[in-house]
Amino acid sequence: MMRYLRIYWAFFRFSFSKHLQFRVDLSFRIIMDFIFYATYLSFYHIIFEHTDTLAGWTKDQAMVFVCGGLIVDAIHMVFYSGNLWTFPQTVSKGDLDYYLVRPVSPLFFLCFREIIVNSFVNLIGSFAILAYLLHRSETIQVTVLGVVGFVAMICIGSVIHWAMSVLFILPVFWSQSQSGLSGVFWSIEQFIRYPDRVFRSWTRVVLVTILPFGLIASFPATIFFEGPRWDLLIHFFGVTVALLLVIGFIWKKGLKVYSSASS
Amino acid sequence: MDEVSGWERSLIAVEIKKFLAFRLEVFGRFFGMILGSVVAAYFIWSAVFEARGTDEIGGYSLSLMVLYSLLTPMAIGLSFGGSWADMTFARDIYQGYLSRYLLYPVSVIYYKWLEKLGQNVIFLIQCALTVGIYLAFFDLPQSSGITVFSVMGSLVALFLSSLLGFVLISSLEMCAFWVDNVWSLVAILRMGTWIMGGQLIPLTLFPEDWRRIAELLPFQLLVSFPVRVFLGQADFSELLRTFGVWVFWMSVSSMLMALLWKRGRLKYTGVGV
Repeated sequence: MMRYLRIYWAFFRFSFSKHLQFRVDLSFRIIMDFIFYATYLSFYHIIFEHTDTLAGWTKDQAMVFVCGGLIVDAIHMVFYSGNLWTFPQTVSKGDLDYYLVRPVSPLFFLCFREIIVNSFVNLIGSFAILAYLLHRSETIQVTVLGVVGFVAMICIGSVIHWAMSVLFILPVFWSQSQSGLSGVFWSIEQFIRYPDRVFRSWTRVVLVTILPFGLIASFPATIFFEGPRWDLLIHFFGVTVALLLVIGFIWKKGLKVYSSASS
Repeated sequence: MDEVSGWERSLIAVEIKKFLAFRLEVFGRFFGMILGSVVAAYFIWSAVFEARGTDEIGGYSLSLMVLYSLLTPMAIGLSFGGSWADMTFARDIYQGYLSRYLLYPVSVIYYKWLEKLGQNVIFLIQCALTVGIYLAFFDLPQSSGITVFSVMGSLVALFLSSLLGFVLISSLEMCAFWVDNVWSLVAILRMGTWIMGGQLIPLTLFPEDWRRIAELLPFQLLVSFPVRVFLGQADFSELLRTFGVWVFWMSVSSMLMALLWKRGRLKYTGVGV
């Protein structure tokens, strides 16, 4: 564990020095991410022009929920988005050899080698928006434990987001395409930004189990507003563990069929 | 003349083949996009209608809202091109592949436009299939005004939006002559269409001030406007007004693209990054 932390710290320092050289890209990414945040906050603002509640949540609650989703997105942008973008091409071009010969987990190397330092500003920004909304809200009871618990669960939600991203990329071992099923992932990833309680019947079941986009930001928000619920917590952690096991299994299967550039 | 039009047909045919090289990815991405958009819109708007206790909001029933959500991703796909995120123009600049296009005896920009048209052929077929499947299983919403003329009008609007989308994205990608990474610029344009283009919510449901601003921006030309024409919601005055807005943005972005292309070629070294 300590060895991986030391390696990750090295990744961090290298990425920092590399990315801070590109100041124009830094500026564009900051603008891009804030426009992304404004888009979803505006979406719910317009929705609440036409209704007072949405699936039982008030506007304040919905906005805090949206912030949870934005924090997940910021964590994704900072810690693994750049790596997952090149992951399928690394496999399809046979460049995975470089990672397989290293004395560290190749999946760890592939997914976390580069940190997009430019997006750190946006991660701070997303927390700032959350703090502002909580400060302004008159209907949400804010406690330190509640906020810490919410943020902690959002971070675990990010693990689910990472796992789902990888799950949709791993078919590249068999399809040899440029992006695996990433296009499909980005089409359905939007479900993170809608409360799970708006979905009904088998759709909701799918979105909180097999394709758990519906619980990444929704479950942390529900627990934050309604207090700890053991059924939700067990479900949340259970899905996380199950996803990680599935990824481990498919990754090993993928490596068996991988044909490198040198073979 | 036949030789000239022959190479264009060949280029479009090659682009279609390239686009279909990874069929699982192409069709998976398309139907994932449609499914995600429609399912999310159905449930979120059902929740809104249920909370309000009404059958209509701003002239939209739930079924019309679902149809709108089915059509907007298709409109944006045709405006931006199926593989807009690949940013082939910027990639050619960064990797030095633009050199071969500069050697061709045809305009590079015209060549790139034809490449996009090739992708749009497949996308249009996917869209027609999807609309056909929808009509086979669902009735048209009563509040829609779809007619043969509105469908034909929407094809014209889609062609104009595809042209504008090409010019806008190409202009941004040409910043690659000076900037190390233009992905975020193109992504900003794409995000602009989500709200201000009316992809997530029809512009008629916006607060009045926001709607007025959105109607003057180019984003709605890429998404909301072709869909409104298709649904028979655009009257003659709106058609004229929006066409005027299209002419303005097309002129501005074309001049910008021409300037960037002229200056950029002088800076281009062709060695790759």
